[in-house]
Amino acid sequence: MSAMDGLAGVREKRSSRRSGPNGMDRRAYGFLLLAVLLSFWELSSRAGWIVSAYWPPVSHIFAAAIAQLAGGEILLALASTLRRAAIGYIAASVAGIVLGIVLARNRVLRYGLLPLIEIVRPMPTPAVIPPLILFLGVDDALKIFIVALASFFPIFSNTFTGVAAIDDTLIQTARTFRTSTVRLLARVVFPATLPAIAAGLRTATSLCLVVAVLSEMIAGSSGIGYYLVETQYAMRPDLMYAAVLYLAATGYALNRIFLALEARMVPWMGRS
Amino acid sequence: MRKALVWLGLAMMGLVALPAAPAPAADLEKVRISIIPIGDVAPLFAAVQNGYFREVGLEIDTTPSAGGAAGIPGLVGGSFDIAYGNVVSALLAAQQGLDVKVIAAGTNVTDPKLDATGIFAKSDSGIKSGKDLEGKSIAVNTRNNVIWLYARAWVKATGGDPERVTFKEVPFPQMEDALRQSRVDAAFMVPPFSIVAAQKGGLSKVGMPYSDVQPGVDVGQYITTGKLLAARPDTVKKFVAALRKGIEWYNANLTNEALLTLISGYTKADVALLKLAPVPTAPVRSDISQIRKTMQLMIESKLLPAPLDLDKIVDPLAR
Amino acid sequence: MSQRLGFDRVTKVFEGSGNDADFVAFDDITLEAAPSEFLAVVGPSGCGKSTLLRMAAGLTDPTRGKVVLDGKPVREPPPGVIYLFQQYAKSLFAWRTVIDNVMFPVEGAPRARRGELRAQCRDYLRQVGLDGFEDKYPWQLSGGMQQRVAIARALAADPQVLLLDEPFSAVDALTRMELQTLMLQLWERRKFTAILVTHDVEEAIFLADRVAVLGARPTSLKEVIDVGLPRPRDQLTTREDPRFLKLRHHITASLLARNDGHVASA
Repeated sequence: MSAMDGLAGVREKRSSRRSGPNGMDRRAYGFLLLAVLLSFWELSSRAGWIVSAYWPPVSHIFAAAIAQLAGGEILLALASTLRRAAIGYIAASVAGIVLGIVLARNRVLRYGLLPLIEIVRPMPTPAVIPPLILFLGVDDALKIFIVALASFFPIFSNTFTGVAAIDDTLIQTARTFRTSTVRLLARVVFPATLPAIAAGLRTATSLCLVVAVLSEMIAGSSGIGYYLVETQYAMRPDLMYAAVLYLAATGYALNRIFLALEARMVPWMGRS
Repeated sequence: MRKALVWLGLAMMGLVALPAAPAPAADLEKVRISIIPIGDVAPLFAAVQNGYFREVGLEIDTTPSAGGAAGIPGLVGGSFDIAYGNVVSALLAAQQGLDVKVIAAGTNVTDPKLDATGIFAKSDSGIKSGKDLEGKSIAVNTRNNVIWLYARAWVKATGGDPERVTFKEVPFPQMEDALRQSRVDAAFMVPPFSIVAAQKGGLSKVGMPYSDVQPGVDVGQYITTGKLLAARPDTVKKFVAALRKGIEWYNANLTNEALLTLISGYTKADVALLKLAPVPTAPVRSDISQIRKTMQLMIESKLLPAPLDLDKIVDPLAR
Repeated sequence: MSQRLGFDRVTKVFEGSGNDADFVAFDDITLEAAPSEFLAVVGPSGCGKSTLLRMAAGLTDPTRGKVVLDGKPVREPPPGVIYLFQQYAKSLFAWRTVIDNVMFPVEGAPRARRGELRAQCRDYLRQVGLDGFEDKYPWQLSGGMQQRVAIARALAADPQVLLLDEPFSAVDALTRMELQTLMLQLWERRKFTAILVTHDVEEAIFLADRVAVLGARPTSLKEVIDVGLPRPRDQLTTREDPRFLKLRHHITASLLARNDGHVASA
């Protein structure tokens, strides 16, 4: 749980973004480095410094990325991966937030369920896949479950510690207004925990996409994960890396969207 | 905040509503098959493409998995009706008490000229036999599977002691790189990787475990469970009949461009790449004597403690 | 004497954990506040004054004795007893605007009354001098203004008893005086019973009808003093009143005696 605290604490300084000539310069340096690295890649492949079927020139990858877009196949694959990631993420969010709040506020349930959660948490996902296949099959149920399982822990942990960290004064203020338990949880504890919940959700946002891709590598016939395995076995690394490119872009976009939503929904984050 | 929540909700709903698997056609019986997207299952896809399954009222839904890892667990769990897998996996599953039945032959290796698999080593390494590999390492895709078993058998057949050879797990796509970077001394590769590796030079094919050790070996089979066979015997019969028609078409079109296009379609491999590899014939029936030989090898390598009753595992349908 | 809120032989013991001995916060305290009375309780920091208020609010139970509100023992937080915390920043709902903070106590009311209640809450904000700040968030306000929000919210809960737990100790001296004056105005207008806990002797005298002085640990009630200063009170003239100065001398000496008895008695 302390590791989760650490993660929750690391947050970009959104308000203090540099602008002006100084900031522009720094940005240019970043792009320059990227360009140099990509040139090296291109050169190393074309000049034959690195001989491997899995080291195509960068230009081939970009060409493949454009061709993929025209075919539409990559978008379908991305859509089915996003769909699994989203369903698993939503399920994990609901379960993680509700359990996090309830367990942090209820001693009996905490003693009952926390040991179970703590035992499941460190289990490596690949180790539990064979038994999961037995119960959930190899289709969406399995993949979504794996996504939900992986996304659950950061959300739950952040919620749980977030609730525990609420100042007693706040709870007692609500109690002196004779607030019912349900209302206390929904209108005081939940919003007061939102900054911590948002931190957990953000961790889970990047996680759910990665895990959805991994789950698609186990079995199945759709999604980016399957596409990666398929192109690898078909010896089409250009398509494979192009798909990775789209995946990275999607992950980046999701993170930006999350930050924008967070700024709107939790404007008091880091204040008070 | 409310507005943002509404937007978030809409976005999430949009994602959830993204296209799921397409709906199956009506009034055809659906059969779900776990496959490995390689040349081995070309007859199955030929039968699908030529409508042989539709003719008997079956709709085939193939689910590929790399290396077929999900095949048997999915079969036992009921996610698949039929799984394409190798002979070793099937016998191991039977040994574990799982109720598996071989219902059709998949691939065998009869003609060494058409055997594109092989043990590869660096041309300048001096490695020529299993004896030369002692104290060295060889890459196999998974331990305790068919590749591992025949790599061991080949080491033994060519004068080496398999116990003195290190078997390293390397996925097929990475074997060539591992070999060229000397992370392993040899690798048991299968097409298309073996073909591409041979093309570029620097690597030599030093042996063909299947052809050298056991000519005619039945490598791949279609398997199902005894439970499903008992519950839907007609379905399985129809499947095997349609598959056989696919095998016949395949064997009649080995040099036809249409076959390569078909394989390219489900593997995503370039036709140009496929053209480099010889296309082996496919067996119509399982050869129980070959399966028995494989079982013996498994016993020698301690994969099996004792012989299994093959008459119970290989269903009469397959023979 | 009629009684609104009473402490009847109240003792509070905090159980020590492990090897720590039990800690007796206060012992056998009997004290009552009349309807519409302004009662102040002074004592040195850390003498458990806040615990007294927390028991009155039903947030914690006495170990022995009982707290009585309008003749009934207090267990759960009773209606009409509102607590004003010293840490106003931690007591406000950071995710709510000022007006929504004030609305919190009345949100259980039927929807039809919302508009009317909202207008009322706006009026409370005007009474505490926060006209025009309705749609700001707490973190956008100064400390003194935040405590005003908390006061307006307390008013919205229609307090019969207002428990003031050193509510003005965390703001600067000038703001404190302004808030004290505001509190007196509101008290005179609404006629609730106010119980103020503070370590600031002048504040206690300036605001209260009676001042209860708490003594040495385990804390017990030393004496209860009638203030008897005329109302309305004024920050300048009241504080210069000879009686004010006399009371300040007496109570301060009494408090110092706790730590330094032989000097005081000399």
